[in-house]
Amino acid sequence: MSDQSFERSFLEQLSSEKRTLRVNAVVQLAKTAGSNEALKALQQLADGADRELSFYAAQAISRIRARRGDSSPEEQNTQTHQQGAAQADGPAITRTRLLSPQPSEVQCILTRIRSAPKSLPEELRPPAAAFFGRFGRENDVSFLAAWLDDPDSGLIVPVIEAIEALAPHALTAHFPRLLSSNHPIVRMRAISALQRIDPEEAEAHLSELLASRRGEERMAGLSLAFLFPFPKIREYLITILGEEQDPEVLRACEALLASNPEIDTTLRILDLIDTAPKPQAARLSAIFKTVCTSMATAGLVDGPEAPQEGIIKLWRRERLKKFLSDLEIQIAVATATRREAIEDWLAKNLQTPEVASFVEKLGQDPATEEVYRRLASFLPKKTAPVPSKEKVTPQQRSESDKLLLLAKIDKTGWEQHSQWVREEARFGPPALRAAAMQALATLSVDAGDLPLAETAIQQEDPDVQLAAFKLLELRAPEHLIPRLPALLASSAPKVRGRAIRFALKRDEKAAIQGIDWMLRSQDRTLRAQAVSCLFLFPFEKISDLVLLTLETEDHPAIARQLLVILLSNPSKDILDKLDKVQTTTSVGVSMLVAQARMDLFDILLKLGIDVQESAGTRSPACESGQSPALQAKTATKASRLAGSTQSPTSREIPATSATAVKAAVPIKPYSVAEVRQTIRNREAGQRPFAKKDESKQPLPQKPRDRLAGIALFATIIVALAFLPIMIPKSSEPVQPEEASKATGKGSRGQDERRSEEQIGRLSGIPATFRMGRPCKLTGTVVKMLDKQCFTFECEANLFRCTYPGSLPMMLNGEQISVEMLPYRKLPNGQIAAEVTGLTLPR
Amino acid sequence: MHRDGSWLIVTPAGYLNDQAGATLNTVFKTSDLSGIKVVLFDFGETVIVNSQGIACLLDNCDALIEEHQVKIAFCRMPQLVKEAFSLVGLLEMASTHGTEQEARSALGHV
Repeated sequence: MSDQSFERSFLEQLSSEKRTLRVNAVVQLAKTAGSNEALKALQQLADGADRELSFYAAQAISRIRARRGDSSPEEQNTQTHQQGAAQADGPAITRTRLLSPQPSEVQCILTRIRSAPKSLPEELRPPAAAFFGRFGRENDVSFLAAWLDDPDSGLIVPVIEAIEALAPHALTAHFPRLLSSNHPIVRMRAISALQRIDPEEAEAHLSELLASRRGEERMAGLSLAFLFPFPKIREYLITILGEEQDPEVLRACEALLASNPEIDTTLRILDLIDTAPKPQAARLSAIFKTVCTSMATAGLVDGPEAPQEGIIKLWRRERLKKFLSDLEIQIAVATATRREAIEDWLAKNLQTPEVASFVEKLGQDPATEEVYRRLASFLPKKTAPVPSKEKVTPQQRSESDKLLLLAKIDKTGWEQHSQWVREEARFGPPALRAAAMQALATLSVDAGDLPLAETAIQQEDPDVQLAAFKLLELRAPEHLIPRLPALLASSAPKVRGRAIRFALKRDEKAAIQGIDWMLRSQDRTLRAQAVSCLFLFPFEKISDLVLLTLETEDHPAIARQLLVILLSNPSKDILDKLDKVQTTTSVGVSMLVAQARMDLFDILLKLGIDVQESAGTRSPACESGQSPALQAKTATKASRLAGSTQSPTSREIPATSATAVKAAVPIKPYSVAEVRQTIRNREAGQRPFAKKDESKQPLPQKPRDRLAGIALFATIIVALAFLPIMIPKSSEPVQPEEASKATGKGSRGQDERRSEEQIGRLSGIPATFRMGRPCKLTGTVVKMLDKQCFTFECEANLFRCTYPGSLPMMLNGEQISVEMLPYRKLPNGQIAAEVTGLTLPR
Repeated sequence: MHRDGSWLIVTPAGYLNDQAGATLNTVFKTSDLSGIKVVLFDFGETVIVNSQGIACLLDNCDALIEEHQVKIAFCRMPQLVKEAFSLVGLLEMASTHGTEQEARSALGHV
């Protein structure tokens, strides 16, 4: 792609909805642009009211002009007249002069600012910081640090960069505020600076950023990811790819993956594609092709065929078996959409012997037998009709035909076949015996079947046992009780799962012990089955078990289900406990846990539960200031010491991990736990504020040259990582009328994250005003402020209402009913409210 | 909860926990369900359903299907609720729909 194409692309990005990308486009234009068109676009931004973009655009203009060699004294003079009068001790200090100083001016400017840093106008601090970053010395940090006063403003980014350049350790005291900034690029820049001082903690912060529910934060995290070792980053990327919907975030992932092409990456993307719902699979396929092309370009694959064809063949050869075994777990715990995608894939690939054999195997597991039933008719050997066998008696048929017949028998055919079915239930081979027993369970009412079932339940074959279990549970559950201890100890997962459900009704303690055993198993399928039973237990009885299991769980699908159980039973106590959970078994699981913390916190806010907490009152694990990795290592070590009665095949679940890490490690004020709590406290002071749906963001441009596009995107995020970056958030004094808008911006970090999930409306909404609670008020529209905001008067209160979408046509003075969630009293006395519904007069 | 012909529309609101579940149990036990062919649970106003809430729903759905031979349908399910129901097998007992209107179209205005 030519420089002009790059420039064109960056100019287009200036209108992106994501501020991160707009700022990045300015930074990139500073590096690459040279046209008058670019200068014109940048000048418009430099003259604009957005102080952050204005500063960066001015910086870009000065760089482009310096590169073009057309910086003119006339312009300098013009700036001088516009921005400040000449002073007695030299020419006025202006933004232009600070960004593009003449060599002869440098010393003079340094001396003047050092002599009276406080007298420097606030708007000149960012360019002055950039100036000191280039020409200053370590001592200058003393006054530069005072300019870090607003961590939520992107204008402090040049200050961070200047301090980082002059004396990086001076940032340590400021990290807690910077890392908890509501501004993604401030956070990103702070993490980047932290990496020079404490790489392990920096990675933990990066993980939090990548796990964020807020697209801009994920973008910032991806920009930063280039600075970290790729093998670790790849794990995060693969995890993100599974669910990510935001096209810009997907492009950033694609850029990172294509910039580090590896065969294993492409194989893992294929794993994802085959289990993802169709729309996501299509997105992932595009990424797969790009990474394959990148591999071919790098010479990592060769041969006459297209690179993706070769990779697919390789996947079939090397990964199919592993993939299928993982699929069994996924089917057991997958959501309906994902399960449908998996079924589609299986149906498509049934002609492959391994897949056909896998589908047969699914029929033996109660958690997956439904899938088997749906696919059985497509199995190669069962697709052929068997007309010639119609006149043959059941006894004369082959075993597979007998199985088909047993599956087909209904109430009308029962009398005709009942004798034969009982014979098979008594004497048949295991598969037939199990099928016959199932037929007896559903079609027969004869008490004579009970002894048959009692004998069968003592057999070794799990299918026969299970079928007998079902029959007895249905018709004589009391016969099962004496057999429960043996059934709960069964090594067959399906029998154990069934027994747990039954035992829960009869002997809860034994059932919990049984599920504990299953969760400790090294067999993932068994664990997946156990998880699906967990919801049936009283939550207070299994919550600790769920949390402990989470610490050692290495399969993201199982971990997600454990988290769903926790999220469905929200409490402050669970949030505290989840904060203590640290896992090193899988990056994917770590990210899920981080996301669940955020989700649980949001749920608690929605439910009106007080979640504020002063810093330093958290868990010992968190207070230790250890990085998650360190905490988990210590916890696991401690749990090993604690020991437990485990079978040789069971996994170690730390029994006292939370307290075990109460080690004498100094508290890091910038640890993830501390910063997380600071963010939470800030969020708890604000109410959810529905914003635009991120899913409505524009679709990615059609790639003309996809690889070139990736190269461009990679350039962008690499530059984002390395260049002075800033992000806009106006810190100009706000007018009373604008105060709530500023509040809205300030809370955007939380708002956008929340906007990705559905905020449930509550029914039975009262018709009187309640702060922090949903209500439906009837009053008058005072003023339409913009397409999403209006002021509304009711009960002598003035509400500043924000609607999540575009407002319908309303007139000032109109009577309307508004369903709202009032969440904050603004400095001007108005009450900020999130509108959830509007009723206009007919 | 309201009745609309042969449809019973249940709209749990807020946090569906043990208390809300117990209320649901009572309501179903004391309601006259004769003539009801479809029970539609509209979860659009539900923030979350916890373990006990799910247990209550399981019991009620079981009873409705076994004793009253009604069809169960769910609509407007938040993602987390959908995941929880999928995990526990509740989705296999009911049909799921985006909205009440879609449920009515799919189930043919029984």
